[in-house]
Amino acid sequence: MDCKRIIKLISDYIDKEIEETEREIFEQHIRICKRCEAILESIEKTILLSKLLYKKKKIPKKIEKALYYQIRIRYKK
Amino acid sequence: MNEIELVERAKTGDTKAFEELVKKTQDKIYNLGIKFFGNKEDAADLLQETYIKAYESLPSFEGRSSFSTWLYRIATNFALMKLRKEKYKKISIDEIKKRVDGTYDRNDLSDWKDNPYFHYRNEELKEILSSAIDSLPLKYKTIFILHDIEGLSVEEVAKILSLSIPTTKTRIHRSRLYLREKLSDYFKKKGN
Ligand SMILES: [Zn+2]
Repeated sequence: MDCKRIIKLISDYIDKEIEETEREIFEQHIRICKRCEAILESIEKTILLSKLLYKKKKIPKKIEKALYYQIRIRYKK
Repeated sequence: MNEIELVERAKTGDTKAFEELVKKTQDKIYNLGIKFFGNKEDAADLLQETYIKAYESLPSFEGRSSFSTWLYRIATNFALMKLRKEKYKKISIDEIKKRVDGTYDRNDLSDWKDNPYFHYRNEELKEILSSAIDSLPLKYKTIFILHDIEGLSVEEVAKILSLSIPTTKTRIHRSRLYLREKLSDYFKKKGN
């Protein structure tokens, strides 16, 4: 498989949406091709960095209170 | 009580059960709002609109997907409606395609391994990435947030957005390549 084909498969590989035979070919290629290996690695790093942009926050009390208020006024209807 | 039982009860008008469902999912939806809008106020609006709509539509919820997938769908639709009015400058889909298709042909593939500017605490780098995500066309931004940041599966994302699996996959792939390119640009600039 050529590099262009490999690059197209990168996301399926990362997401484990790749067929077994394709995965083997993909991994073989990555082992011998520095360029594709570098692209794969940089995409994985991009994803990881994206996840790190957001720290999980708890809802501020005020916002939580307002939410329940909005829900509860609808109960009686 | 598990989610399915809670949903069943909530559907019969058990408000305690409904609130239990809200409690279990509220942080997720609030955080999703932060990711879409980047501020508390809009995230709080999204939260309210999502649960009000969920409460009103509960009788028609058939349980074909999980309750949280259903909530994500409601929340994402609200977010999209709101984001369409956003003034943030978006890049065009053609531009994404152009940049992404060139990934292979460009000869300047930087190896990030030994790059001194790539580290997870580089605030400038995070800033670049964050505005690059914001500049994605909505169709891409939504998918990238739901899949790569939120961690929902391809199938769930496709369901939430009523898209086919191949379309969802293509958009995931292009978003990633595009964002990666933006970071590469930054490294190149730093290298000079
Ligand atoms: Zn290659």
